[in-house]
Amino acid sequence: MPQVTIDNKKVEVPNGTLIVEAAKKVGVEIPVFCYHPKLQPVGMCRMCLVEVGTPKRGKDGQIELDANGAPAIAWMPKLQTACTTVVSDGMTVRTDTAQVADARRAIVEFLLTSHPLDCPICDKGGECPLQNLTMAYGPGQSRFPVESKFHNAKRVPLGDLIMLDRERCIQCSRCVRFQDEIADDHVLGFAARGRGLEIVTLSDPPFDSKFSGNTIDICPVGALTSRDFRLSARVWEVRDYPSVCAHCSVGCNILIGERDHAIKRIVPRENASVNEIWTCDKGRFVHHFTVAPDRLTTPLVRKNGNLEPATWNEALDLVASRFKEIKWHDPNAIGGLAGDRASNEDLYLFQKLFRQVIGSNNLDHRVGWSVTNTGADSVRVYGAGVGTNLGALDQNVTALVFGADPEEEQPVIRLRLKRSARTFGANLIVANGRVTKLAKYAKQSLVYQYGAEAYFLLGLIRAILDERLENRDFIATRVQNFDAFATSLEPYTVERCAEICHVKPEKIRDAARQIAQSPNFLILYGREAMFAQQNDVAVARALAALLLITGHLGRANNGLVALYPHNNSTGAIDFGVLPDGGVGRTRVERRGLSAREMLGRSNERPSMRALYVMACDPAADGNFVKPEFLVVQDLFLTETARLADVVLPAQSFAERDGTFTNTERRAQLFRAALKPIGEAKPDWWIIAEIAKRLVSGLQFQVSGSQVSGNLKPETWNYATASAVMDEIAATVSLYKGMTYAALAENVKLPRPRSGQGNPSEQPTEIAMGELENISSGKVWASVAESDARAKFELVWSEPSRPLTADSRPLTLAVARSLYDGGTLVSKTQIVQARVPAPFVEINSQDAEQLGIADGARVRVSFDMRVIELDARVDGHVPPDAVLIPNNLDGTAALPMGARVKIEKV
Amino acid sequence: MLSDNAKSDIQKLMAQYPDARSAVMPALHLVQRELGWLPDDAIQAIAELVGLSKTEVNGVATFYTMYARAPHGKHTIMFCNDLPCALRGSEKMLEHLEHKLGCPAGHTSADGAITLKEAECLGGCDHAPVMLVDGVEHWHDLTIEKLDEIVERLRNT
Repeated sequence: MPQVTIDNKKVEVPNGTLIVEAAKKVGVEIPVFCYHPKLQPVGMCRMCLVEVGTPKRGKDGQIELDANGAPAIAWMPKLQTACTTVVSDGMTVRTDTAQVADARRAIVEFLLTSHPLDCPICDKGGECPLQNLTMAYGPGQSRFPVESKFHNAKRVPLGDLIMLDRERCIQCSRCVRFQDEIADDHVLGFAARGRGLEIVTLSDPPFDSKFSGNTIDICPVGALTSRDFRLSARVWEVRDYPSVCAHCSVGCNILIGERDHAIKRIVPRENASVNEIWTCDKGRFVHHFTVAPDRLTTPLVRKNGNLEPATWNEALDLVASRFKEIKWHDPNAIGGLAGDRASNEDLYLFQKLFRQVIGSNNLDHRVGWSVTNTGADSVRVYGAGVGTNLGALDQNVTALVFGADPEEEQPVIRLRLKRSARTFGANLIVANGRVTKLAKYAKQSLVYQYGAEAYFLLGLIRAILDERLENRDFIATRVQNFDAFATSLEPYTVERCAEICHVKPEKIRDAARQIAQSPNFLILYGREAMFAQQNDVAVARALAALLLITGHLGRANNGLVALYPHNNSTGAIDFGVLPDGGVGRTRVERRGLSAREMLGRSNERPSMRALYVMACDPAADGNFVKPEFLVVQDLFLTETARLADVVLPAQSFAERDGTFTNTERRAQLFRAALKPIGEAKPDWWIIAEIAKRLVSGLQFQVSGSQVSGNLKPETWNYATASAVMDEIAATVSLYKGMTYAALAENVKLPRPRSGQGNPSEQPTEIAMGELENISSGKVWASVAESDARAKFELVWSEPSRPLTADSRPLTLAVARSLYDGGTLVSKTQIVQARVPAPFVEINSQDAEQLGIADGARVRVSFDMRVIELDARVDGHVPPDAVLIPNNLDGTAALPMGARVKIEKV
Repeated sequence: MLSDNAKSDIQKLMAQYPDARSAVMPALHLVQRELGWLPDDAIQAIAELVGLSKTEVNGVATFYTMYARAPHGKHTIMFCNDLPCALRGSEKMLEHLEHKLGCPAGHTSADGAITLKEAECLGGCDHAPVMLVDGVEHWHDLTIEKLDEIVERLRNT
């Protein structure tokens, strides 16, 4: 490793290190504008000029020594850019000389010739590199008269979310490079040159990227500002609270910037294992729901047919007394539906209330999910090893991304997989029923027929067995049932599977070879495969078998990642909000009813006498029949809440502490940032209060003298969310030791809270990645890694053939749009333009046959429903399939894989 | 937007480079020759052909001054305004041209035939004054008579 001397400090750094990075190691700050550690260096701004010398060598190639016996240094005649110069052994750098100070002064003076210096009205003021470096290195005075300032447009919208101030731009190209190198959405560019140079976007819609907000953070001046945050607060008045994004299952770490009891802005917080220093625009901008005027502020109780405000005691007493009464007749007449948006603490107590106090296993979180198997068992046993970093998979890792569309569903995972593939050479195999954006980073992109997912996987397994590529050592010691498994698969030849799933046999064989021969193999399996109707079990088992026969489990970069739809889907499974799954992913003996069974159909009597609905809205999916007693706990008066007998106002994630477990099984802590809205209470508190009331009455009902521990009201006394987590950390083995203190390790604020310390001494840049490799949160270990002697059984189930029906010839693929018609998105005005109008995508071949042109109005009929939509004919869906994004206007609760018919209106 | 000929010519250009995107500059020239200038639709069409984004192609087209992103005359005269040409009387000649075309430099004659632009050195100082017509005809040792002759010819073609 080369050794360099920077301002007389010696440091050894890896080959290829840039001077600017080596200097950080010895605590020497080299000022930069265009350089960013996450981007390729370009040397555009010249702020980082330093003196550079290398050891002088004589004609014989020997290093010459000076009078003191030290190597003589040959100084380069001019200053060099520290951001583009790679260090070499013996290199000497000086940053503290008059020549360097002079150059910095000149660069700042030059940059400021066309800068308006309107810091008092600029959003960036207070955390602005230009402002800070001007104070530190600038000349203090300019030789250019103020009248000679170059004036330019100050309010140029770059799309709906970002505003460009052309006068402030110093043309560093960080934003352009971010879009090209990191987001890979090439929608920002320079136009013209010289003084006319400007940042433009010509995409339609303008600045068409799901990551545009990150350019605000990395802009070293106030040129790019958020149209949401713009001019609404000074950054030093905003208090930062560490939190976790509550939208998708990535769980990006964020800072909530609070002022006046409202969220002013959200910026990413660094976590090298989750989101690096990025977040998507939904996570950044969709927060207005927290303070929406229609938030529920008080409990409501139905009186004379109307929902009337009530006190907490009145509402809770009513819930407890009705539950008690119904329980006395039949505990199984009470059912619980809890959305997978709630926190771990809420979900844990919700299931504890049902299983231990009410005595019912009728529990589910899968409202609106068309699935019976969530892959929960597979994740528990074969879940990707702790230490897997989706953004740093290298050429030794093959990753199969199966039935997923991360660009729309887990945007930051798309960024990270792109980084793995493009920067580190990971081998991505992308398989889905259609071509998604991720496919362009794949070495192999395979398109199977929807409905035949399981056949594709069986084909892979057979191809591995045919070529004897299975991991025989692993199978011999750890796997049971292999021979029977292999024999029973004999009828499923690669050719037969290929014919059914419409992927060429040689492509299946090629992918199988890569999977079996790669040192590491990871599967990311998404909603489109997980929700494969009829075959969800077959798919989950085949994925597990693929890992087992290749022995790719139990260590980092191997195993299964289930890409779930919501921020805490993993937590809902972990804490047993399932009819058949108990807390800690155990099995319950007596299976309860699933959401679908509890809700029944419109023509049936509801199977439940009472329903407790928390953080979900089953009535919005249609066909909802109100049971005798309905309790709804939510942020808003949802469609279900409108029908309820009691409505309990809950706090949003921004008002309370809690933990979410992300799609990689990482439990992460979020902290309260806002004061509660009205009388809203945290979900865990409400559940505990109901439990206490139930228990205090029940003690007398329990026959015999023994009162079980959980029927004592004092066991339900939780002072804080942290106390609930303490109980989890002590009793749930997966979450052993995951107390708030443990989860708060490495959770760092990039700058002190406002009002503390001297503002001029605070580190100010939000997104420089200074905390590289800092990661927080804790991942629970799968069985495969925690038990080195565990034996695994190979099982598979025979998949059913893709459905066919002459009257409904096409397969429905349900996609998701990042911005949809959901309650949370609808409260943020500035993203509304990004919510697509509902549409159905049809292959051009099918469209031609049906006589449907792009943009035509069509009628789509499936199951018992008929909807009218505009048709899109643009080649993303294969023949025989149609694609409809879920949860846009009129497209809620669509059944994945259903057969549909399309006609022109 | 683009003619089939233009499309196939651009595809041929792309084949000449190790990286197809490198064909963007000759493609822009080719389309500008066909359409006279580079409207948004042409930028979009070229972007799709060579595999760049519209924003990137626009960046190239606006960086170089010989691409026109706004409609202009049928022919373009770029007239050198550097020192060696000025020493040989170019300023007078430019004035003469402006009179003859009825528009100042940087503008297009009323009949739409000729756009007159000033240019930095065109690389012909040893034969100053120099001008460039339509990006390909390099005229040197200019005189008033020669100018008149060229302008007449351009007006009629």
